[in-house]
Amino acid sequence: MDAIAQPLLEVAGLHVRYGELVALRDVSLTVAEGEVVCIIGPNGAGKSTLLAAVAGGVTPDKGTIRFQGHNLVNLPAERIARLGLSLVPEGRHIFGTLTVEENLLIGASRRGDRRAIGQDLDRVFGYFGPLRQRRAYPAARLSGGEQQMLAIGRALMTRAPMILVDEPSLGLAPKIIDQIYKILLDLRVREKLTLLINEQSSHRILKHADRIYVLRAGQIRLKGTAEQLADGHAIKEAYFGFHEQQAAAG
Amino acid sequence: MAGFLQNLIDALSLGSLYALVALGIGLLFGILRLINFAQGDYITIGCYALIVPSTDVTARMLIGAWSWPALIPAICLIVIVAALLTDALIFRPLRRASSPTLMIASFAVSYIIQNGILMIYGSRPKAVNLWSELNTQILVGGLRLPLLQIVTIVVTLLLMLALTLFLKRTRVGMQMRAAAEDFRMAQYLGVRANVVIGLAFAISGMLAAVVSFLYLTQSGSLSHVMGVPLALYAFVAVVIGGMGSLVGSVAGGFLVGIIVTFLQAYLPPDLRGFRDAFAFAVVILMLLLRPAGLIQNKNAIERV
Repeated sequence: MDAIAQPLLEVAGLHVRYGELVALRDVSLTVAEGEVVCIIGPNGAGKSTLLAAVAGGVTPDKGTIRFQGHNLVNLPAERIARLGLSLVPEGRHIFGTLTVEENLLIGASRRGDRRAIGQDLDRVFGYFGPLRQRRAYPAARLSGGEQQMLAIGRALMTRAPMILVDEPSLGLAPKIIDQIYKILLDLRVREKLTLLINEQSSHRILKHADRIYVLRAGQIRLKGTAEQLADGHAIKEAYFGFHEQQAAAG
Repeated sequence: MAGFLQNLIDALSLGSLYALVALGIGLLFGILRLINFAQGDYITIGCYALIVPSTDVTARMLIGAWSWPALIPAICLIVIVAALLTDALIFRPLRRASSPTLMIASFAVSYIIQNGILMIYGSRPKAVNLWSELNTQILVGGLRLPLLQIVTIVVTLLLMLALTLFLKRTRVGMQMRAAAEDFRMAQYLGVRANVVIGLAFAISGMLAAVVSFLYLTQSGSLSHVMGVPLALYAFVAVVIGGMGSLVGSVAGGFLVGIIVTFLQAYLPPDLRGFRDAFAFAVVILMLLLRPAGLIQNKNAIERV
């Protein structure tokens, strides 16, 4: 990764509040083209808020979000989707009454290239075999892992160069989680995707991410490359906030 | 037996009207979480648009004098524009408002339309003769059947078929179904909110226009509050059908039509005056037994 290159996504000084509650405080983060960046942090740290703010689901109080040179702040979600950012939200949010194929086609809502859409559909079914067999099923009848595949496949159908994935492992069995990650990293290479992934636990992510940010209580506590943080010590400290607890106690 | 059959056709025909109104309300509720009580007043607009605007007691036909191939599209267009205008002026500024706020706003829209009509057309009900040749009976296999009721049922079924095809087979119909299920997610995927919402209002308006033809041909009389009972019964239909389910709204509409008609026919004469009380008692009973409605909204089911 060239450090001098203009990042694909650049978040600077982001503040988000829900009424009185401060969800994010002065959060800055960059993702370069082709990178896999992971945000880890405990429940309630603000990870989902951060991705929602980037995707246009939450309006920040302060700060800038730039993607390929466009300012995303105050843009509606549908415009941001069109610019090439796609969110795979926490809990997957598949359209349960629509069929698997229809779910994927919704991902291509803004595209006019019907032939290419058909080819992409085929490609997504190639990555996610189980979905092809169930293409005419209502998506609500898929298993959790298949729904996660569908949510990722739907994001691929948008042809977005960058995908935000919010806790892909949530509620899935370890074996399925490994499968999902294998697919995500495979996609990174084959689709030249840039990925920003939220996770609660670091142990899988350390192997796969280029860089890691640790978010706790709305603030970035630590950042570094996967090699720098490989032993997991610094991450643990930042994640749980041991230093501050000791300071408060002493 | 003939009496029962007659009652059944009455019930299905009344149920058709409720189902069409309920579809309009259900469609908007699914997408916007808006319970639009002005749906009944769109019907009123469709009826009044037929006559010359004046406070005279006798109605003179304007668009109503045209032949049906011109009349039907003209009225549809007027009601669709009216529905889109209520969205643009009232509901669009309230996009982020809560569901109760939207409902209150729809009451405001309803009163504004009613009072607007009152100002332009006066308060006295007016007799209007639309397509009176439909108020006749036809012989089918030895049975005399009221033509208008048959037309009402057939038109309703055709409209539902068309709407189903639109929602299932077209791209934008699919987007509407997706938006009805999870509006925010649809937007994250690039579905244009205003297109989907505008279409929902346009379809609601078209359904209201069709109801105005069928209802006015039957009743033959205009009043500025004529749409209110239709919206009320249709709202009940949406609730017992299961909020957010279009199939449920239709089923609820027919069910309400059946309950009301059969109570009217088979209650002892002394009690017929309390027909609506009995009808709503049945509704309360149904909601006690199935609080989520006939067809449960799939969004309410937790996915794992």
